[in-house]
Amino acid sequence: MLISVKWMEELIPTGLSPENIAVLLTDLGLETSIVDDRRGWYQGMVIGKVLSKESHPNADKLSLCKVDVGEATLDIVCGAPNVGAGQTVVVARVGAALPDGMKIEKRKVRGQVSEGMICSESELMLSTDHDGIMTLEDGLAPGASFGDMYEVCDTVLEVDLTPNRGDCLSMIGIARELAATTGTPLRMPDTSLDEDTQARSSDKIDVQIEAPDLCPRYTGRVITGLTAAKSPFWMRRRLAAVGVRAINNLVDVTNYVLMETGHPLHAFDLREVSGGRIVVRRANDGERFTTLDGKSHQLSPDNLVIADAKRAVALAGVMGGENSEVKDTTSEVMLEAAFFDPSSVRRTSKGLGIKSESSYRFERGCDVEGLIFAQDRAASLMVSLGGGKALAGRVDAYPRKIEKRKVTIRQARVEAIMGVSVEMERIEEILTGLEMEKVSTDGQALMVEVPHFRFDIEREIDLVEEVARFVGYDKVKPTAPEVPVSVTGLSRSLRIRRALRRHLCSIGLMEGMRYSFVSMSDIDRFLIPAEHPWRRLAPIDNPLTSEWTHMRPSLLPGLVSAIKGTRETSVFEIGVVFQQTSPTQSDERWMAAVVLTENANPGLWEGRAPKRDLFHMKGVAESMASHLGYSEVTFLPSSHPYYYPKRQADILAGGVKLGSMGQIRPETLGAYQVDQELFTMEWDLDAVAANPAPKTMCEKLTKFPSVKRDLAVVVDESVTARSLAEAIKKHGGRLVRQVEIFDIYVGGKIGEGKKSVAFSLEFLDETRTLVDEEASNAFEKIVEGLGRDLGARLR
Amino acid sequence: MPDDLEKLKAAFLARIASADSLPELEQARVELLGKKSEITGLLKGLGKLSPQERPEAGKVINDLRMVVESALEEKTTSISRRETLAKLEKETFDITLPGRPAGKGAFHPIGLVMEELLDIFTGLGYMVEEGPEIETEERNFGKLNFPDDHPARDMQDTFWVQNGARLLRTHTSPVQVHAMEKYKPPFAVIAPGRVFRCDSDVTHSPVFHQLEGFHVDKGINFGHLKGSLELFIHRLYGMDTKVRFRPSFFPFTEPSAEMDISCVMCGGKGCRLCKGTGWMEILGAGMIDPNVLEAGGIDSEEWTGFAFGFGIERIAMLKYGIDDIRLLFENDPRFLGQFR
Repeated sequence: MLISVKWMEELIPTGLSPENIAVLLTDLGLETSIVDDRRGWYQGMVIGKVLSKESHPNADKLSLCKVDVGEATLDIVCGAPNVGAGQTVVVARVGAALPDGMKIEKRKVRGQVSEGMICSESELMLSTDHDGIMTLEDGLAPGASFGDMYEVCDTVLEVDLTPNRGDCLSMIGIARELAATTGTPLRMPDTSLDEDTQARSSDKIDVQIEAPDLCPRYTGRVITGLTAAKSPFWMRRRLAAVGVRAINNLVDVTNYVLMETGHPLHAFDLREVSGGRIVVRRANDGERFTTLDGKSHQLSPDNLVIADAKRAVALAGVMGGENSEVKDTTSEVMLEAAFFDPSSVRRTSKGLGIKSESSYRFERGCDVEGLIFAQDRAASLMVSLGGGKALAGRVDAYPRKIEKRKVTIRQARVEAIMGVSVEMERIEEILTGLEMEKVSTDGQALMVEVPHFRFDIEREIDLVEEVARFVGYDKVKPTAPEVPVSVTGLSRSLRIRRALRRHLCSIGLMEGMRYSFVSMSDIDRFLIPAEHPWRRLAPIDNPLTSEWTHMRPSLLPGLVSAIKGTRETSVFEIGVVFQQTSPTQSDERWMAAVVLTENANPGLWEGRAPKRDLFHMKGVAESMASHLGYSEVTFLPSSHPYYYPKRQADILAGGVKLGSMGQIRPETLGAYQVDQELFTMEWDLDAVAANPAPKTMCEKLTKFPSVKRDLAVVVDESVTARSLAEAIKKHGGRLVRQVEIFDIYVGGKIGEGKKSVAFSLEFLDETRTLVDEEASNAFEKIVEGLGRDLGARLR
Repeated sequence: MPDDLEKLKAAFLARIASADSLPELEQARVELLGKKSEITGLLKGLGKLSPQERPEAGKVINDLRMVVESALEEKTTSISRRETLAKLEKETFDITLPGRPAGKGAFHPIGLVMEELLDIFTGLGYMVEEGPEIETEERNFGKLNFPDDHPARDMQDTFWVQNGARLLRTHTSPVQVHAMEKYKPPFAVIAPGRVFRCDSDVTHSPVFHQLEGFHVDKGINFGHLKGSLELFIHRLYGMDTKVRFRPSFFPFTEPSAEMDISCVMCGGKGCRLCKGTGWMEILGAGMIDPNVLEAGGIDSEEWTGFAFGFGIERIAMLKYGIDDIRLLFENDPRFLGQFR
């Protein structure tokens, strides 16, 4: 909402500077800033009267003017085609500076002396009108200062209004707040009207409200004998200051009164209102209607229309119709001032995608009583600017009378909410200053009647807020409260996430973060078959882009899609993933995912770092598991479609699947333009939280020495390291303390399809010193068992 | 004899001092304490003394011997220390070469700020609650006192999901509703989380993070709101940071407030960052609207509460001088590697 300070000064002469007004309003909750400051502009610019105009001897498009500026008559070369003798104009005299900084000097233009400049509105930055010089009304004294004569040295404030304060969407609305805080009385604008003594508005029109639930009140006033013309400068200037483009006097008046009072008005060309009949009704299903911006809409009974005897002529409270709008030839108008149901206007505006100054105000609530004032103000201005005559009275259909709300405020409640005690007298003073009427009081509570324009005040707490605003938040003393003791603190889930973040960072990974969205093509790029859980996507109805149409079922698409173009990535993300469980429900899980590129950190000066493989990821998995307290973690074959079939695994601890890892398939890499191998892993942190590792118990440290033996066996290549290790433990019995692989060899010496695996074994008896022979016995049993179970032979 | 002995001792010690390497020192030891040394000679001469003189003279000679021995030992230590040092000095190392990487991990700025904030509030005694990211319209709007078909709903551009059945929560305030369903007052809760708005540019991301806090108890008033938030800001930005509260509007609080803090860049003098005002808008707050308490099954006459909420991205961007919010979500390793 833009506010002209000069205009405001007319409604409430506080004498305050724009800066002070901005501070006062901001402190009341109406955040205000100065957006245009013209104080000090237009110096050296005066009213001039063009005495004569002759053509320039050396240029076709220029003319030589003699201009009376009071104390002198100046020779001015002018290039505007519309300049003419007898006009009253604005002259920038020598020494003046235009708003864009151009200095006016005495100079020769094509050989002719020019002692100033006759200005256009655009040169004065008063409009974007380039049509020629600006002309003012006759009768102004030449030589008078332009800046003093008009409100042009204005300051414009922008008030950032919260949606509850529809009542402040006008000059008067803001003035009311200023009146309440400064005590300066409001001066309401003139509505005096010399009505026709014979003809009445009701002779010309007739109003029928068929939907009083959506339109409790509709009034119409008729004005005849009007002439459409350009509005006077003062009005065009004020409209421009508050951001409204001037059209003609009839339209401008309705916009002007809208900005002044906040009440939307609409002027119909009465010639186009068939039968002078106004019917306020719900639209027919499928009814077509063209609004005055030329757009055609298909309506439904959800939309309220203003119709005449034959057809709709306006979308109630939203926009008028092309068929009945005011034109340059209009001489007779019906001025509508009505009250429409806020929700209904909002539904129509949203449903049809039409936003207007009118719908913006109606959906925030307008003043069902104040609309009479707005209508009279507009009629008065229209008659004074457009000639013509207002017919006597108005047609006022008010089938559903809206009563003023009565609300009670208790002094004790003010203190309970604000923590400061406010005297009853002060409470009453604040509320009556806001035009609320005192109904009754018993000394501890006060009942007031709330004016119609305050849509936001229905309950006691709303009054408490009003009191608080005017008392000032700075009057409340800050006190730290006692915080109730809680036993929960951080949830288990949060503690796990926090521990993992710290762990993954400390082992050299970077924490990343991606958007929560994916598209169907991400799912396809991950080669996800039909019926796969990733296909159970929760769809977004109104996505911002075609890449963000669904909620992510996994963190992997987001991580992989960020790899393109990076040389090395070691990143993890902890975030929520989604799965639709029914058309109206979905599941959310916390996940942790890691992505490693094949390229490792290049920072080695003694040779390039070796390329990474899946064992790097497995190392991360093992360290994560260990950090989470799982002593035993297993990796089992899996079949995720986006991984190499034989280079992937599910990760289990305590028999529960906690995650999976693998090497991304080349098709997926290609689809994301990744030109190196990629290893990813994803853990289900909800599963981790639900399956905590067993509690750690301190293990006794043994003081007896152990015996170490190396064992190298040759087996078929298909025999896994895990099965060998398990067999060693099984056959070695309780003395086997540790089994570690230290070498794997594949090659000609041991035969095709075979591999040699070398283990370092540690034997230990926790209760006494182990005899060498016992270790040898165990070793023999292991060799024998491996041979039997897995076909292993000693190398 | 004592006189001679003092001279002898001085001569011996001078001999030890003059040795400058371990072999030289060994030579000195042989000379001074060996079989042919003067001390050995003196000891041998003891036999010629009378039994009365012998103990006295023996003690004097032994004392001399011990002085010599300890002087030799001291000198040995000092020479070998010097020689070791000389050897170590030859072992050089170019400290300007890069180290072998040992896990240069880094946190995400949002994660860092979030953890710092959670630590502050849990330190004050708040408990942490979280809610789902896909919410019902009822919890995101209805129970938070956003009327149907009211322009207040335009304050937050909403992503709808599953054909309007649900929405992506536009703020963390629905956690208030969850907490009221779950707990009976009194409670003080902090609720971190990801939120969504249908908006995207340099300062607006469709995905961002908020921290919501609320405290419901008997006798909670606006002064407590001010006191709690002032304490929080002082912990986050230091005691010198000033705060101010201005009236504002949120459907779920009344009276509502915006809290400004003195500009973190210029300290309140006015700069580009604060547009010359000296203040920065940092958070919205207010007394929980009675309708919200009642919708949560809490008697609003008996209990009152305050709530506040703010964006984590803004705090992180101010803290680290990040000028484009999208950087936070692009996973560029050059960006991610900077924050610890």
